[in-house]
Formats: sequence, structure tokens, C-alpha cells
Amino acid sequence: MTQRLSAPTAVLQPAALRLLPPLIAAAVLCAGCAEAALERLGLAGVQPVAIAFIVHGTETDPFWQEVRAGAEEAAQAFDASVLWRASPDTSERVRMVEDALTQGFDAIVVTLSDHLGMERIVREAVVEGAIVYVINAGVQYATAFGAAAFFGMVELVAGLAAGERLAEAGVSRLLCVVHEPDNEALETRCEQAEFRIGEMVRLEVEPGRNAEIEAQVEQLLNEDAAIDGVLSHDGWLIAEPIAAALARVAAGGREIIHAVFGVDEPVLQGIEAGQIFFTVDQQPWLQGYLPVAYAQVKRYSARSRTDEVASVLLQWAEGGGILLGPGFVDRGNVDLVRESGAVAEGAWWRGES
Amino acid sequence: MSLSAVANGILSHWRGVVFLAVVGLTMFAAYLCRVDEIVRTQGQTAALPQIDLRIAMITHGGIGDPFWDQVAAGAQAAQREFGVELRYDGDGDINAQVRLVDNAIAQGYDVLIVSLADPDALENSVRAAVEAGLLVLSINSGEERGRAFGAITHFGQPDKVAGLAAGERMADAGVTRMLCIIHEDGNIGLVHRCEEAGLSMELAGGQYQTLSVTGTANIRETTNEIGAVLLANPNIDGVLALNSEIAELAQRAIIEVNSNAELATFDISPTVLQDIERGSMLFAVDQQAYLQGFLPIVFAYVASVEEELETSALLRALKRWSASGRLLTGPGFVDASNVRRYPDIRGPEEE
Repeated sequence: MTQRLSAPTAVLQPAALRLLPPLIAAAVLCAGCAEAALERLGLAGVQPVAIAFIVHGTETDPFWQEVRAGAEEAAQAFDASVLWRASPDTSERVRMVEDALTQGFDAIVVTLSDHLGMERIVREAVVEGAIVYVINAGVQYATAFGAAAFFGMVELVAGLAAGERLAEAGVSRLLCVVHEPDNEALETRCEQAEFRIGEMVRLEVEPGRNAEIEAQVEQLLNEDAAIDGVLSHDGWLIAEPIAAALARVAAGGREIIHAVFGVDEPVLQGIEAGQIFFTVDQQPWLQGYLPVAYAQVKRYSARSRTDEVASVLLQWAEGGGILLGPGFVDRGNVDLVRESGAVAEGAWWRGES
Repeated sequence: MSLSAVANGILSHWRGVVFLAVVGLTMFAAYLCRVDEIVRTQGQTAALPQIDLRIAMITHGGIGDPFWDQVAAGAQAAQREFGVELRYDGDGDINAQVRLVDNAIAQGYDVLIVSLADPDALENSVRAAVEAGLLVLSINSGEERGRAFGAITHFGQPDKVAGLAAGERMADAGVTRMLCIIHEDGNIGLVHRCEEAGLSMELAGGQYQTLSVTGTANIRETTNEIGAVLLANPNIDGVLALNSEIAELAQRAIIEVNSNAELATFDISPTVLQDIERGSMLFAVDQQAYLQGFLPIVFAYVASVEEELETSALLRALKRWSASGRLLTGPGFVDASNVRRYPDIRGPEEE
């Protein structure tokens, strides 16, 4: 036993440490399975861990439905209870976190799309002893605010990499379409892409108003003849009206490269058809699943020093987080991504038969 | 404690499930359900479905290099858990590495896991492996070239990203004149780390310079080289080393020439963690060497038992993760804020 490795905050009896593996083993996917295992371990009465997700993405956004599906799957697998709350309004989210703290949630999962607005409450939650995880946005602030880990993509890197790919394809003036005006992550992507490309025009749109978006994009492209690339976020939701505008512009003989963030079935089809150059994947489902899984392990064990692999996996998160992107999907690997069977066509995660 | 006692009593049966269980944390809970069923029906054995999978992992790390020893330890742990056949071989000599890859193809391995520090030299062999139908995964270095050769997924830390972030942290710590030490000629990854760290430094209004040193082959010489530059440029206030051994030499050089430069490094070692704890090192960039050995085998295994696991949403999500081309094992950062919670990875657990 190497003594210097044990943190003062995590002094545990070896016997207690040993709880970890059987518990995780017990926390198996199908609920019935988990129950049976827990019972056999004599742990049937153990209170399930309670986790509150408080995110900036709206309930109807397919991306966030995927995140939520991951969280719910993990809740079943690990016998945890998950509360899902969402609001694009920061002050409302702050109130939601306050509520969750009052209600005694063990773990709170937040997004830092507006890091200044969330800072105070995140620090407070940490002080109150909740496990705080940051998902999706805010990797650079997560640990500084005291969060235990981050699960998601580094936006800065994603923007740079996307910009690099577009620049290599010959794009010299980019239209970056922003659909969430308060989301710092989108600005970061646009700015970093600009950094690699040289020039960028920013356009704000309102999701759901496809006819309006289409007209806005088309008008802008007509006014600005130098734009030769478009970057949009949140998959087909925003890409659809843009693609329609681009198709019309292309009919006039002008070629504009369209790259996207977010993976869904229509985007994959767009890639196959050559309509979309690439998309950036950040594994939304795992952004929901992993924090639940880690919270459960932390709850029962704090940390295992006796198991090599467990300690490595926990260390992986400890170094700042688990980086789920940016991954790139283009013509070269679109088949593989589809074969995974994990791409939303609609509610693919529901109703397994 | 009674709960623990119960758990302990049952643990012997669960021993085989333990590692898998932990992996299941992030990877295949669904699988465990199957295992659980096996446990229930057979009462005793908690074994994974055995599949016939022969994996060759061939790296550019010499035997005895602490970083690569960790990669090997991770690979061997995965091998034990999944019962696959594993051949691990590492050779710093590129011709030898090429030969090892060629041999693995000739010997009919199913999976090739390879580090591409020198992609040009390995190109033909890796392409041949893909052609021969091996599942090829790349680890540690050569992500982009590997993909062009037909590797499906890369496991590692993008050097540019890590460099950028490291430079940013140095600037945040108040460094304005950074020295970045390159310890291997012709390793493009090291150049990328320095360039991007330098870019961050420049964006923050600072400056940087690189220094090519002899390397770990001659420790005294390397220490002197670093010391000489620090002496000649007293306004260097930060040193970035690109592996843990060089960091230790740089630490020595800083002390010897009485420089007050801050030190940071890539990769961790017990000494590096001690220095961070004592406050004599700013931070270390961790790329999870052990996971670079462990994860590709996990994914190779999963890819090969796919039919049985199709019902798992988690598994589908993991496949999508690997299909998107890369699993980032880093950069993670160890500094004063988390070093005490950071377990140093030891060798395999003694029984």
C-alpha cells in the first residue's frame, strides 16, 4: 500500500473500498438484473443516488433528448434517480440548482454555457458537499469552480479543428450560424474557426423558424459574394433550412461548403449525398450516461485504491474530465457511424423490442 | 461495516467480474447483465464469453521506458480480463518496429494496435495490415496519418491541443519567456506541442523558444544543455518539458544554475507528482498511458462480439464514439489542486 497516494478527503476502510466492484457489477443495465444482484449482495435497502441534471438545452431539442436518454439509461443501469430540468435562461437555472440543493440531491450536473452566471451557484453547491459535474459546455471553468469532472467536448479545440478542415478545403470566408445567442460555446467555435480560416461573418437565427432562416441565409449569401463556407450547430435542426438555401444558391453555380456540428440521421444522409462536408460529433448520449455512472461510483466508494482499472478510470475523470469530442464524421467513416446503430432517427433509444 | 462484510464474502465469486464491472461503468453494463445471468445459472463462474481474438500491440516504446511500461500494463490487464490473446512488443528502433508489424500480419493476428511515431516508415506495413483484413487501431501518435492508412480509431492525446492548453496554463501562471525542450529528433508530435504552447504564450503577450537536447540517452549532457541555456538567458521564467524524465533533468538544471524558472511537463511519474505536491512544479499534462494500452483492447473485443450485444444502447453509443475516429485519453492536468487525489499508477496488483 502506497500511503502517499491516499487523499485526506478519501480515507476509507479497505473493506469499504471493496464494495465498489460488486456494486458496479450489481448496477447492471436491466433494472431487474440490478435488483436481483443488489438483493443477493444484501444491499436491497440502499437508498439510490439522486442526481439532478440542470441544462441550458431545451426539452424539445433532439440533441438534448439524446443526452437525456443517456442519463435515463444510466439511471436504470445504476439504480439511480435522475431529475431532468432545462431552461435557456441562466437565472432560472440558478434557481433550479438552488432547489436541487435544498432537496438534498447527491449530485448535480450542470452546463456552463454561461459560466459567469453559473459560477456562484456551482461553487456554493460544491461547498454544500454535492458532487458537481459539468457536461457539454465549460471545460475550462469546470475544475476552477470546484466541479469534480467534465464530460464533453473542448469547444476551442473543436472550433480550431473544424476551421482547419474548412480552410484545407479552400474556405476563406465563413458564415457561422448561431442559434443560441447566450451560449458561449457557439461563439468559441465560430471564433476559433475564424482564427484558422481568416474571415467570418456571424448570423443569428431562431431555431424552428425554418422559412425565416432559409431566407436570412440566402439573402446574406446574395449580399456577400465572398462567402464560400457555412458552419452551423445542432445538427439537422439548423442545417435543414441552411441546406435548402445553399441548394438554391448552388443552382446558380456558386459552390459553398457546409459543415455541421451534431450527428443525426438526416445529417448522415447529407454527408453521403455530398451536401454536407463533415459533422462534428461530441457523443451527447454519453454526456448523459457518464456523469450518472461516475456519481454512483463516487457515492459508494469515494475512490478505490485497490483496483488498478478502477483507479485508472477514476483518475481519467480526475485529470479534468473525459473528453468526448471533437470526433469527425465525413464520407470516410459515415458508414461506420451508422453501423454503430446509435444515431437518432427519432426516438431510437426508446422501446427496445 | 456489515454491508462491507457481505460484499467481501461475495467478492470471491465476483472477482472475475470486478475489472469488467468497472469497465462496465463506462462501457458495457449490458454485458454484465449477461454475466449476471451466467452467475445466476451456474452459481459460480463469472466468465466473459470467450472469443478467439489474437491481438498484436506494437509500439515505438523501448522496454524499460516507464511510460510504455504503463501502456503495456494496461494492455495486459485488458488481456487478462477479456481472455484474448495478446502479443505486446515495443522497439524504439523504427526498422525493428516495422518488422514486428510485418510479422504480426504474417502470423495471422486479427487486430493490430500500433503507435505511429514514424508514420512514413510504417505506412506500407500498416496498409498491408488493413489489406489483410486486420482491424487496425492506432495509439499515442500518428492519428491523422494512421486514419489515412485505414486505422479505424485513435486512442491518445492530440499533441496540438495538449500543447495549446499547456502554454495557456503557463501563461496563466505568469510565465512570459518560455523554453520548450525537444528531446527526440524527428518526432513531429513534440514539435507540435512546442509550437502550440508557444502560440498560446504569444497570444498572451509572451515569447517562447525551443531547445533540442541530446535526450535521455545522455542524462548529464542533457542537464548541462538545459542549464547552459538558462544561464545564458536569465529572463527565461518558464520551462516546458515534454516527458517526465526530461522534466526531472530540467529540475536538476534549474537548481544547478540557480534559475527561478517555473517548470511544467508532459506525462507523470512518481517524481513529477512529488514535485507538484511540493510546489516545485506547476503542472503535468497527463495522457493516461495505461488507458492507451487498455482501451483499444476493450474496443477490439467489443467489436468482435457485436452480435451478442446488440441490445445495449450503451454499447451502440460506445461504437459511435469509436466510429467517430478518436478517443481522447488526454490532455488531463495534474496540479496542486488535484495532485493529492491523483493516484500514481503502480504495476499489476500483487495477489
